[in-house]
Amino acid sequence: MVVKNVKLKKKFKKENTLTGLKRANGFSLIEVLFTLLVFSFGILSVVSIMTSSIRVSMTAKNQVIAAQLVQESLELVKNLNDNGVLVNGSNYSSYRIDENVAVSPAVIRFVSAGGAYRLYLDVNGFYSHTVSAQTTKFSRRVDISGAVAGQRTITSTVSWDGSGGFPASCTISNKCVTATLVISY
Amino acid sequence: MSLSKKMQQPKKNSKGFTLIETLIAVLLFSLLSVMVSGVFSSFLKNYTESKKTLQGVEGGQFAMNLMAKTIRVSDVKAEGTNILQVYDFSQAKCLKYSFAGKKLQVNYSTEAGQGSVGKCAFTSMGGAQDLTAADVQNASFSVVPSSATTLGFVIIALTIKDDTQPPASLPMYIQMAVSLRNYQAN
Repeated sequence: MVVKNVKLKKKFKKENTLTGLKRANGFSLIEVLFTLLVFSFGILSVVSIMTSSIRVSMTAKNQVIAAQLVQESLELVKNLNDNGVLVNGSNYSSYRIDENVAVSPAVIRFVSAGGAYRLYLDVNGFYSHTVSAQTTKFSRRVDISGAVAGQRTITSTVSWDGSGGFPASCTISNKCVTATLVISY
Repeated sequence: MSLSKKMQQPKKNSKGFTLIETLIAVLLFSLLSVMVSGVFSSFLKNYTESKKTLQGVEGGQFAMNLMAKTIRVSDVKAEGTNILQVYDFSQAKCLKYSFAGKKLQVNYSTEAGQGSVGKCAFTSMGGAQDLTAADVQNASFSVVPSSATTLGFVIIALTIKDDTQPPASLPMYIQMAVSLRNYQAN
């Protein structure tokens, strides 16, 4: 009984010493919420750094493939030029170019038969515009301009945003690689 | 109740955590750290995977550039999809690029006096040399040979994926074209 009395007294004292309000042990809801907020900010920042780094490495991978595809198409256009058909404009179909368009001082394009630019992978691992089971996210377009006399300006663009289309221009922020080649004749 | 006991008692009750509190705190902490380390390790795994793939791609690109240098000034002929026969004018040698054992390889014929790839017999070979590490899943050659009036081209396609990577990870397909520089040799 004596002990109990002492305890009660102590409780009474404690409740009245500081501000007169009841002061419970442990954290208040606000404190806990605040801690959680701070903690989640920390976790979020770490996770966002990780995801952005994974995205960057994915972009690097696609950029390597796209740059290679751009280079390949420019080499094929060089082959056209070596054979004289880039300037004179004859049948391209035997040069693995997908559309047969006569070169004139207008901008022309190499596109696949269906008018789409998307690249597909065939059974041997070749990229081509021929529709096959394995669709890739890459689209390629080659523009040839004869606007300047004595020159052909070839612009190859590869995009991998999956839409099959192309952004207005290739910037650092969009999924696109482009290169321009000028051939004089 | 003595004074000294009164002073001691509040100390005993309010300072430190109980065993249960400590255990719960440790449990929560360990759960959190397991979650975080799981995320972290999967991130590291992804990172090493993509680094390995890029290394393979760099090796593949190097090999393709090396081949392109030779192929450009050679007479070429396809032997199936995975083998490319070449007569290199600069070395006056018959070469064979092939895909074997997950590697891109080059071998040369020891015979003399050919002049064109059609005359290469490839009967006695000098020995295969590796052009890439063993991370090429497939190599294909698409050949349009030069005629007497047109210049042909060769397209090389490589499928690159390291075997140590999990089966679910996708291979990288790279492709390169080489426009030939010479008309068909007689």
